[in-house]
Amino acid sequence: MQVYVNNAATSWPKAPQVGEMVASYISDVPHHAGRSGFSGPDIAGECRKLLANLLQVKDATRIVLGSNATHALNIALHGIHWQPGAAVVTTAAEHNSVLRPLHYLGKTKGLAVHILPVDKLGRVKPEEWETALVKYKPQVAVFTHASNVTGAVNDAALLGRLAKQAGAITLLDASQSLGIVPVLPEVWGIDLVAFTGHKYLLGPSGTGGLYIASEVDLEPVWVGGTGVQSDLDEMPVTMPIRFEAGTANDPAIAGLLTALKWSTEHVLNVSALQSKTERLATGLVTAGADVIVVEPPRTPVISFTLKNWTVEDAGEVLQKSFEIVCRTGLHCAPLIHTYLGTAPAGTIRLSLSQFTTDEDIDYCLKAINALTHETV
Amino acid sequence: MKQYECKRVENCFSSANIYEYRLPIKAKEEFIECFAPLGVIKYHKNFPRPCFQASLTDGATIKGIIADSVIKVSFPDSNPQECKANFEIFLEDLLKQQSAGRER
Repeated sequence: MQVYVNNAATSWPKAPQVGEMVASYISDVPHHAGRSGFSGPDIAGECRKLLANLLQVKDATRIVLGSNATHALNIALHGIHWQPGAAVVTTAAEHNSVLRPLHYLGKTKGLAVHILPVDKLGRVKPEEWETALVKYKPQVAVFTHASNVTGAVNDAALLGRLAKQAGAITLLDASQSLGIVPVLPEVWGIDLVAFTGHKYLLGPSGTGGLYIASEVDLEPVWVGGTGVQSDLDEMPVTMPIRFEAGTANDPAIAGLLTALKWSTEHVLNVSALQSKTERLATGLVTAGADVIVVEPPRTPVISFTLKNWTVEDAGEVLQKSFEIVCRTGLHCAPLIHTYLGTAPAGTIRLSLSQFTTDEDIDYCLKAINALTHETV
Repeated sequence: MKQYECKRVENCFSSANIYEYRLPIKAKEEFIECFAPLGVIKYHKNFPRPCFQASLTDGATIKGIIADSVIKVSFPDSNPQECKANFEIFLEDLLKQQSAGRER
């Protein structure tokens, strides 16, 4: 039996028909890419509309499509008109997709990057967030909506509001939340939202995007061909092509569109997924695992360690002996482990999706029971 | 010509010294036992795909599924290249012996 519980890395299975759509898009005669009108299907435009519905934003052209969340975060962070001596406030729960661009900007532009601690579940403490915003007066506040290590969801509405009150541009990393937790930038006053298409949106890898509020002025990071307005020396001001230089990953965007349509027609049963997540967490505790137990709101991500096993060895056995596809280590979020008490080795992470079955969960629990009753 | 293929394996840590070795044979228990003089071997035979782990006295560890042709070896942070070279000499000799044994 093979079990896939690595959905926080990339979802599997994808939504039905995604693979077929990607294949047919590659096989079929290409349309007149990048032009408007009614001559061919506007896959990217349709995709944007469904994303706009999901994000509840009025103007779908404010959604820039790209390769992944890292791409989107870089468009945002490198596109900001940084003031001399500017400060940024972020959190220790961030993925390297946030931490590394900020580190780079600190080195190259002299930004003062303030990384706030998180609680033992990986959440930002709102009072510390507010204090830091007042103290550092950041030009930008960046935070993850949900920890990719523990599944803990931050109160993005509150954190966003506090950041806006402090005059900061707010950038939300919704890589782990969009598709599974409401993400409402216009309601919450969030300026920028980076997301990926291949996790809980159930689309192909190589897709993602950035929502840019109309009030935010970003400079394009990537410049080049757009297929339209080619007589201009500079990137067009028209959205979203201002930030979409070069040939898009159209087959993957077509796959993402298929996934979004499917998810629109098959609304996620959040409580059923929550129940599965809780059953797995409870079972792991019973089996003797040291679980980071997170109360809702949460995503279906569970991190734990085992007393008599190193994280690496446990992961090796789970993957190779039990054929459970999971993830071990730092999960590209190196700073959070200090606060979780899981430094330096990190955790074993199981992450579910709506397609995870009760049988999958039973098998995972059987495997962990076997490990806790045996040592290396 | 080497009798095995070797490929570096990455993990979360830049200092990791982990390699996979694809052997020309399946690493059955008799083969794994050949590492016994170098350290301690532990088996997990009750798992769906039985596996082993050998902790060598020089700090290296060998892991794998019993009767699979790929083994994974982690070399210690201190002096990993020398440790790797020594392991590969031992492995090469071992594989030659196995090959000679099969030919007899």
